[in-house]
Amino acid sequence: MNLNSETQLVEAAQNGHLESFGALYKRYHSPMVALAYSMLADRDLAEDAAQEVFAIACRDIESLKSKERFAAWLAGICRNVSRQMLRANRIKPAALSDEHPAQSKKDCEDRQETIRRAVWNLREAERELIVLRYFDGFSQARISEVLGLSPQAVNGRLVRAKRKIAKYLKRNGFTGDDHGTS
Amino acid sequence: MERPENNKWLDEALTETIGSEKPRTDFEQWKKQHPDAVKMLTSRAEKKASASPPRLKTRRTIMTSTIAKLAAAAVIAIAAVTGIYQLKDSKTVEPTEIVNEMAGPQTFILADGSKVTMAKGAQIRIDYNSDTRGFDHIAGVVDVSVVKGLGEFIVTTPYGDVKALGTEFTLDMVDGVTADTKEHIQLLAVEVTEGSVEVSNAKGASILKEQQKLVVEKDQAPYNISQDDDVPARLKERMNGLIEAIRTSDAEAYSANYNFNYIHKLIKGEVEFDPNLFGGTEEDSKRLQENLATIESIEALKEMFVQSLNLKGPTNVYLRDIEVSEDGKHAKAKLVMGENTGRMTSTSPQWHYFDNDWWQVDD
Repeated sequence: MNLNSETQLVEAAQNGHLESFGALYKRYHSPMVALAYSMLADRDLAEDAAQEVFAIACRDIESLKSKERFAAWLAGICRNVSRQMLRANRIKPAALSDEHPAQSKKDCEDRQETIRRAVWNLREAERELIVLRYFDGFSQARISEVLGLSPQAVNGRLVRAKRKIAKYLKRNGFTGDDHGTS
Repeated sequence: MERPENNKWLDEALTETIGSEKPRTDFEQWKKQHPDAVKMLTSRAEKKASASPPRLKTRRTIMTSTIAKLAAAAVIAIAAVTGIYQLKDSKTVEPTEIVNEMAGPQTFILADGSKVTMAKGAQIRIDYNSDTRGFDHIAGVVDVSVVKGLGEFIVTTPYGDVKALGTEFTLDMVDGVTADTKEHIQLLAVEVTEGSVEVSNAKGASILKEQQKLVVEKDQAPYNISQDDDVPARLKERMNGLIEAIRTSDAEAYSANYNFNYIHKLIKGEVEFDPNLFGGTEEDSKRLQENLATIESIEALKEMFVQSLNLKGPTNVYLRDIEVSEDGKHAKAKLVMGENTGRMTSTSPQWHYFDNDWWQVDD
């Protein structure tokens, strides 16, 4: 990560330079959509949330004191916006619904639905990592930048999260054999 | 099953399930959809270009007067209390990844659309990870306009929480030492413009309605004078009249709280000195009689008083420690006057019920 470059972009944006804000937008738009998706479980709403995140950031970037923490600041706005959308729309992510317990899915052919359920049963912090990793295929280094975590922490949490998913899938009768690629 | 970190099928399954190939809104589209945000950002470049050099801090003098001091004056000059006070140093808290701290003057739109206008010297902290709408109020004067219909909105302060539902209110966090009495004043003042708020802390809670004001001091229950039945309604009017007169620098309104008829009689020796009715000492009253022996009329006395006042309108005026005597005829309080920038003074007004009304007898 070119820290100087990013802090310069943030500073320029704080001084009203729209192109610099545009560069930050391009850099962080996809991660924000992914982060919002990890909470909202709805791609369209996640896109809307990301739009709002950048609108708020655009208005308030002047108030950001620690320029080097722009990504973490943006992620904080994203979580807040997503939570408010959940509340405002009374959304309960489908994968978290208790109406169809996972056990009843044993014979279900919809493997993706079970995987989604496995992901959304994770703790929020783990779910964020999994979604960021697989939504747009972000590298662990990129995730580390966006969430302000060390690469080691990202790696460790990803491994643990994937173990939980694998365990969940196994408990529900899915293994690599089902996928045909193991 | 293999170790998940080495499991290709799991990677592929997750990519297949979560992965998105949906085209994203590019920046050009986003700009078109958010012209207001873009304008707000680009306007900063214009402001920076035209920004004037930082101004030097100017000090304002807050002057109040008392009838007692009137007596002590050689002519009719009423002693001035000059208060110069510096607020505590602003705290600097490094934001964490989910917390943002901001200082005034600026207007900030929260994620839910609620508006927070911070005066110079005001500070707030926003926790983006909070499940509740609102913010932490750290210092200074903050006007809040809450968007309706999105659930409860809570402002947390060191002295209590302020809960609002679709309303407009002003908060003033005061923490500093008065220039004159050297008192350490720590309080939160809340004034509701529209709707209502609930202010609560460990000591108690109070509902504050439209146009009402409340003061909550450190380690004390919120105090809403409007709901204090021990304070007579007319006395509340007098107290509010005093506050508004100082706020608006209205010398006529300020002087209306005093019984000049009685003071004139005292000067002329028509009534005996009574410490309850005259704020100063008996010696003060004698000096008043000597100095103003030639005063022609009550109107002339009042005019002198008005002319001698030098109200310069501190922004914030709050009454605290209000006490009413057991017989219900005498009251005293402490009056805190200050500006957003931090200068603050304190006086101790008193009121007494006589001549069929409540009159201010000292400040």
